[in-house]
Amino acid sequence: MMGYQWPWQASASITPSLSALLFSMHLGWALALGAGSAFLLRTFNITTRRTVALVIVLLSLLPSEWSPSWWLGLAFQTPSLTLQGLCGLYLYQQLFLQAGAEEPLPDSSTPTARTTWPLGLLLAVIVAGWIFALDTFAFFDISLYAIGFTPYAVLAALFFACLLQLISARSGHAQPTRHYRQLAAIVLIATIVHLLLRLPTGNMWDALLDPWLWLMAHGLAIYLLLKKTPSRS
Amino acid sequence: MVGVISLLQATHRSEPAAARVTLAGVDASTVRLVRSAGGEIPMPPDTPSAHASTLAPLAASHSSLIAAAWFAGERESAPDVRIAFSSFDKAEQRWTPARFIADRESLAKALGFGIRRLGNPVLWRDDDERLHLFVVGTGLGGWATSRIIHLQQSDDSISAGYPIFEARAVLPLSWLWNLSHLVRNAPLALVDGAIVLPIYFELGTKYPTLARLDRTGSFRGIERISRKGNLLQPTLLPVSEHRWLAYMRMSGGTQRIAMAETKDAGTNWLDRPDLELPNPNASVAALNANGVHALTFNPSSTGRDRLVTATSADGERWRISAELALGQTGDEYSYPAMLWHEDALWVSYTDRRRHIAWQRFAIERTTP
Repeated sequence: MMGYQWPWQASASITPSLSALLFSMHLGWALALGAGSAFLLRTFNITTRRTVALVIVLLSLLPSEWSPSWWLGLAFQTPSLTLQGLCGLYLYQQLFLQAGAEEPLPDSSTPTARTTWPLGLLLAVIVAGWIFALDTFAFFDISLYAIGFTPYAVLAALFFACLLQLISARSGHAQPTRHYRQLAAIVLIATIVHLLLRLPTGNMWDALLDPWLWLMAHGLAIYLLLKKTPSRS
Repeated sequence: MVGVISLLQATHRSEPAAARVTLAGVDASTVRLVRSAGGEIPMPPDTPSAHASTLAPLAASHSSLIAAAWFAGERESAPDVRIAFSSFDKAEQRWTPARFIADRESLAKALGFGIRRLGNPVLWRDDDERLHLFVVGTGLGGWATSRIIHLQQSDDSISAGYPIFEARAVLPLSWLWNLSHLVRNAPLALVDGAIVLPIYFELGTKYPTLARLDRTGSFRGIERISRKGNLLQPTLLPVSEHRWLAYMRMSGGTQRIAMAETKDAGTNWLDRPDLELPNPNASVAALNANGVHALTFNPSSTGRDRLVTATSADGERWRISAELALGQTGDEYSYPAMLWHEDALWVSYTDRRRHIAWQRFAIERTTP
């Protein structure tokens, strides 16, 4: 499957430059680990959360063996732009939007808010991830990953982002709508960043979904399903 | 929407370039390989083990004719394994002392993430006479967690005795953390200067695929050769400009050399019946040497103690034309690489894991 060059000149590369890839990888893991620390420390006060997150983010940005990104890159390469966007948003909400509060406020990680994540969307992410995972092992006749280097993948990503926007616009002002809107914005931004810089790898699917995001969707979906199951008592 | 799709289709190249190939229509039964030279390529000092060599022509201005690279160290998969390099000096008609040109520490530093082990180098010289080096670097695990790293010769070392390589990219080849793609055999050059690099996946299932790079070495995409789950290390033979054959090492199964065919320059592939030639789960190398189809392989289904080069007219029926090595049971002569350059067929291979051996042949056509 031949890669595309649009909208740049014919000699343009379809993969990011090494320096852009390196920066994106470190930034991606910095956001992911920063968000992870903020989630784990969500019951702590804001100063503790901010300090720990800042240290982890700075450490992750270091281009050396001292950086967690060095080892995470060894094992998992780089997070998708969608995961980076979600982690960045979570980090911002946790460390800045709630900065005025002494006690941590309910957030998108608390059970109340988590139950409002649209199950349909999670299932779509899970199914897409399974398709990509099976494709990795040559389960299908054609290579779906190879299509991620073509303009058709970009078109599909733009369509998906627009679809999310449409759903959020038609859903009123309920909590799921906010998530849809945020996710739609993140998907749109991820697609545009990919188009401009080819990050994170040059493949559109890598920009939208990575195995960690896929696994997290499994966890969240299972949690939601268990919450919805009525108790026998 | 129609306009957008038209624009996308216009910019999406769907006609891959043809292979650079000589169509001599040679009858294999009239071909004779005449050995003109051979020996061992020197090893770097204090390096006991060598494996998986690759050959490439050097720039016309270079003092050497061709280059060889291989991985060397204490043993395969050892932490100290690096990529060694030597070149065949034109004036002295011998190989230069080997030097290391890539190691995992400096590569990891350039890439910004760790690399556990190195292996399987593949050299390519582009039309601007710049060398490229593709090398396997493992992630958190063994060979099954490998990725393919692309290095490129620096501008100021093109005519230097020893090239200096700079990391250029990690080829994006799979969604699953980009795991488990390896390279082993030489790329196929296309008429527009681009290449098709045969690669393979080997996490659980094993299947061959290929990566396309343009004339500058920029990655352009991937295509799958076969979905069979026991084929690896493809090598490409252009029978004509658009019809290519891929031969593959077989892990299990019939223990013969597997074959696939494309008639549209690599866009679509079809599995073909296995060759009659045996394969002891070992790498093979194929080449179109000025119209002569050549294949180097171990002619056994059980061991790597014998290595031969065969020739063919059609790429399907082969006749052994040269015996490269014959050892005792348990010896290993394996992982051949071939190069056609300046009217000579060059072959290199692993010699009992101690060093890399080489041989040079002239191709003579006899009267039937």
